[in-house]
Amino acid sequence: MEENKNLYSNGLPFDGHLAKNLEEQVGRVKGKKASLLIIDGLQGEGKTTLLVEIMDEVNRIYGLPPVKLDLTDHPQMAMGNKEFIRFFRQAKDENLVILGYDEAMDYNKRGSMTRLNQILNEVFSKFRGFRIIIVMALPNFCKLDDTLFDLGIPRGLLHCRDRDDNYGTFDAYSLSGMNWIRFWFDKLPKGAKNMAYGKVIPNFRGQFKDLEYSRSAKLDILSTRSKQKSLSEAEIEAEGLMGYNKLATKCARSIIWVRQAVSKLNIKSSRLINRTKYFDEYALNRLIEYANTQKAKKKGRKRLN
Amino acid sequence: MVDFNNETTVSTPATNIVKVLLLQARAVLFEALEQYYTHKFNGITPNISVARARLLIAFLELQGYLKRTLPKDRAKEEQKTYSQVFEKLDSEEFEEKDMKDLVQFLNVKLDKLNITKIDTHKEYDRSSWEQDNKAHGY
Repeated sequence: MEENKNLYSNGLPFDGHLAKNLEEQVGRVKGKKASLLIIDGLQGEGKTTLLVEIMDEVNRIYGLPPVKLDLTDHPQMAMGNKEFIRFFRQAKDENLVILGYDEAMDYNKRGSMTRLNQILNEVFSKFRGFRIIIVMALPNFCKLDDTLFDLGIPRGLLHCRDRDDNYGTFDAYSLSGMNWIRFWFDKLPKGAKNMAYGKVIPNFRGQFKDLEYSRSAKLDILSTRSKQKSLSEAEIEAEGLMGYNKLATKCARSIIWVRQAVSKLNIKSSRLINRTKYFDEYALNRLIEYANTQKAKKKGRKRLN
Repeated sequence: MVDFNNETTVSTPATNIVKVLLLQARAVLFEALEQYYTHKFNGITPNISVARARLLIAFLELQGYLKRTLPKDRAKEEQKTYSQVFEKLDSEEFEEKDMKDLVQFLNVKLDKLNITKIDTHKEYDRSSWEQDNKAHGY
């Protein structure tokens, strides 16, 4: 029989300790308890690969097929917070048992007061009733919102490191270990903060292999697409550009009104990103002016200018 | 008013009493062993019978304790071990080496039962996140 290069002798892409812990988490969720696992590590250490492998294993335990990684259909693989909230809502209807939340860096301490983070906090504090395991992947778990740890929701951490051509390595920490790492992360000076992981003895260490080629390629496309999307979002934000939605909010008018006004005033879009028009501040000013003129006309007053 | 100096006021759990009895049996065994070795080092032919009898009593005490505290299947397994121990203690070729082995065996048993162990921290599988979290109160 030909040996599968992507699997170890236990028939899994990772070692037995992690498999045993995943089974425990499944038992925990069946007992209506929350289970959130975190995967962290620097760029290119294999966080997303390990995330998919973990989700595949949990699906296998429940007798479900592997995770879908198509660009248009990936209900278990949320890229970013918006997709996560949407997929989480759908997960219950689709009877999913595990949900991955990649690129989870946007759910951090700095944005703790934002509306989106508040929704996420709400999700994490109440998701136990959904009987679903959530696995989060992000570069550094210490940046996550403190509320999560206060509530004791994360159950385990897999810190990915030292990946080479053949396999990746991870250190696994329990919640207590995570809290000690957070303690050291705050204490250590800038530039030495990553040494916090070395100050705590992991509960176990393990290795994981890459996904089979076809799935790995699909995952690459999905991951790159999500990164491109967030890059273009950052670009739009940096240039102060606005789409129809934002223009409508700023003018306190409907989107239809904005579309019609843009067409009527013949305002040209500044940029076209992913077939969506974006406008600059000049366009906004013209629209506000137009809105004020309309208002004045309706009330029968004289135009100011 | 409750008199806390009166021994009848605060009751002691039965298991604790048995633990004390086991410790007493161990103490008298060590006393006998001390005498045996003192005689030996003084050049007097030592008599192993006292220490042997006390060791037998200590094991009998422990056997009773285990029978009451362990689950049935494990108690059966232990029973097999103890029949071998008693066989050894009853044999005519009982020597000083056998005595040392059995005392060591007794010590390990008492340590595992947290009777002679000083550090009584929880023992659990650290490679399990849930067991580790539970041990730390999460």
